[in-house]
Amino acid sequence: MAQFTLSVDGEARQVEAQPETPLLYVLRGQLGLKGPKFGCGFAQCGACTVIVNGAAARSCMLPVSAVQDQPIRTLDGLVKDGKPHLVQLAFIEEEAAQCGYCTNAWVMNVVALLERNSAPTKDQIRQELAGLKCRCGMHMAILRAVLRAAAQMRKTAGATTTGQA
Amino acid sequence: MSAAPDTLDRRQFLQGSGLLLVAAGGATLLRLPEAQAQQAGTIAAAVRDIAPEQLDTWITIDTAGRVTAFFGKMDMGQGVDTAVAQIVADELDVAVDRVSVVMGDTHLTPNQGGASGSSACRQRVSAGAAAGRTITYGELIADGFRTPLQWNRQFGNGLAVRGAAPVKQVADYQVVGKPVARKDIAGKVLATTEYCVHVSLPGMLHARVVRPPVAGSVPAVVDELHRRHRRSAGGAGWRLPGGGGAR
Repeated sequence: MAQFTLSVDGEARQVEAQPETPLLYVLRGQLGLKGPKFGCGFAQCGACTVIVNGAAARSCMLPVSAVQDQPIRTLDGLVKDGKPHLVQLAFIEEEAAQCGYCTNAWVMNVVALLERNSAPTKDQIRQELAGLKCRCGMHMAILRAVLRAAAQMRKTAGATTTGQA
Repeated sequence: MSAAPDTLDRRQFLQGSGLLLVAAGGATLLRLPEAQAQQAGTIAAAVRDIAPEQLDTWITIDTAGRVTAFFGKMDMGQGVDTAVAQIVADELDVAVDRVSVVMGDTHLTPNQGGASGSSACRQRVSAGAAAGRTITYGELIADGFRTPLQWNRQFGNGLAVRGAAPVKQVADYQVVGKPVARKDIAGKVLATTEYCVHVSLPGMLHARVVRPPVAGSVPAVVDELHRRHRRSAGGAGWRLPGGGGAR
């Protein structure tokens, strides 16, 4: 066991784990987060996605020792001051979920995408999200939600780039 | 005590300080103390007596006119809670946003068996089609849910409700068949919905499937991962999966 200091949703968190322990286990098991989910455990489905240093990352295969002092953002932390992120609002408005187990994957990947490309084409969105799995088949609703979120974020971009509503 | 609910004026019916529980068959009107009634919104913390033949097992109405429907199947993302709320709203002539649905909690709802095969909403149609006529909910529960009935008998929870209230004609529906916003999406998107995987009990162990990298592999060794896991908090002691135990 070793001590690690993680930056999770803007807060420094001390955790104790073996260096190779997946970040997901620390986030869920020690920090009690509910957003990132254990799906396949092999970085193949995306349910465990978090944003590390601005990029979507699959936390089920990411050793905790590799993300020290790097800003980690989670679905749990997207709500700020009681306000959901515009991507979250778009998913709610488009009802882009059924069972919701993979929703974390889509929302976090979309947040990462829209932060570096505020006006993606449908093809770019499809390409970006192609590696995620949703067995409920919500893909078309998700595509609508991404387009809606992108439009909303562009609309508010003059005032802020954080995406908060 | 002996008055049937439908003989009471609605306002009179809802008077009183507590939550009214409506019982079928003109048998009983129960009042819960105010403190318990206030928990109606967080009723999942409670444990109820569940008797399938009593209407209050299925529906309660509080003093503010909010309706809670108790439903013994589990939603897995189909939106059954919203559909059931629509049906209840139509049959009780209340706005759908006044109806909340508690489902799949065996402390609070009858156990109506699995939800596979669209059985949560479909059987009214199939039972009606089979009978060649409009059927009542009482008949539906008693005779239409054959598979769940057998399932319930098997697990000692016999559902044998025989009701007489006629269901509305389809032409009279105000809510069923209309688009209604799903109630479950926000919690899933905002990471507040509880999933089974959030349950954590003292000393609980986690298991996972470890798949070999290629077909035809056989286990070479079974190591001590599970013991390492037991010593760690919340699964923090697991090694990275890598298929190292297979060849």
